[in-house]
Amino acid sequence: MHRWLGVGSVAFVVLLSVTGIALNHSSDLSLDRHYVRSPWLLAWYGVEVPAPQSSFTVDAHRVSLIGERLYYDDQELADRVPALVGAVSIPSFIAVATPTDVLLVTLDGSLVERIDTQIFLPGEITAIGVAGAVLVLRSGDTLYEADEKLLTFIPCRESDVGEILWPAPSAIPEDQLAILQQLYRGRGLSLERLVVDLHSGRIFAKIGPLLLDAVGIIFIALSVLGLLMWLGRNGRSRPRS
Amino acid sequence: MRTLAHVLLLLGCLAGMTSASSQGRYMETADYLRAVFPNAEPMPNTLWVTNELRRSAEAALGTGIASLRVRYWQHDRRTAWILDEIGKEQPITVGVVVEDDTASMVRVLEFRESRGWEVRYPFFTDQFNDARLNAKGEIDLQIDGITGATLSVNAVTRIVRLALFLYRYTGEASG
Repeated sequence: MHRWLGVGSVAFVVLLSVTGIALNHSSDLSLDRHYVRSPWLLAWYGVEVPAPQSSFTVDAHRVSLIGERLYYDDQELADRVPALVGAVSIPSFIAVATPTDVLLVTLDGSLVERIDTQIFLPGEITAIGVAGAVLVLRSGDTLYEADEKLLTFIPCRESDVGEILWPAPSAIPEDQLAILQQLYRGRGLSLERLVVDLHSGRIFAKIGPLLLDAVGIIFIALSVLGLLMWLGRNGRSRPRS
Repeated sequence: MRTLAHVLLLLGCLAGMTSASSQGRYMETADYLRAVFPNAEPMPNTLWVTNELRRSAEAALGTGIASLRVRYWQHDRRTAWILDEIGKEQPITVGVVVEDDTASMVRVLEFRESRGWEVRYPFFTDQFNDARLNAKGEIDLQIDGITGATLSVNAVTRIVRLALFLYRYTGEASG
């Protein structure tokens, strides 16, 4: 009985030990910054991709927001983005507006700067446009133009800057959407979450913790039984000596 | 019965205090800049992150710089930097003043992590007043950590080191 319980527990001892050590060194191993890619594991966790909120085409590139993640073509540009206002092409850069920031991006997708516009604008950005080479933002009923170095935004009138082109959102083609959905799902489940759930048994839903409880009880029983057997054996062997 | 109600009320208040004290925007950038430059209008400026600067930052601080240019605000030799750094999973936004290679007025402007928000308090941030970088690129003062907030402490420390490091490239550094 004791032997078979011991043999049966080996897998759990190894699992709990390995996951416990991994969790103790979670930061060193960067478990929270690596993500599970296995399709069946992602499906098991029910990681779903929200529908794209909006998408704009700029200079043959596509800027899209899925959930709160902002993508430039198939690169993730920023996280925690509540909404995508628009994207326009300006000399040297592409400017992407969220309600509170303007992200400047090079054509190859490198982030130049995320400009917090709340210091220049009294409210949220409601539209982004371009007049010639000048970047223009709208907040409420007021227009704001960027200076040449894109350092500040000052109030302006349309007659000051000329005709403003406001970009319109467009639908993401199916093949590009499939790529973005794959990228989104790929960051849905961190390795740390998986290891925590393996350690606690939660990966097997409600029955997992109960199973681990049973394994814990078996460990206790093994310890007590082992101790009793050892004491019994020593007790029997003493008269012989 | 009344005692039970008092206990529940106390627990409710404590829970409210805890949630109110943790994540959130503590200070707007504009308010921070007004506090840093009370009698002057600071000028926005940017520092382009060249490959050389990026390599130097990685070698000296072990910290990468994600963007291609970093914004700072300046009046005379006084500069203010608003920088982000990941604590555990989310970025912490911190303001740092650097003048004559010396840090001051370190303030946590926004904290997004679920733990470690104690770094916002002056008992921690005031430790960076008068901090400078030594030859190894480390802060020359003893910074006491906070139990349970190690990653946030490390993130704020990295931000202060980075601000001091970048200041050297603004043309205002004394050495």
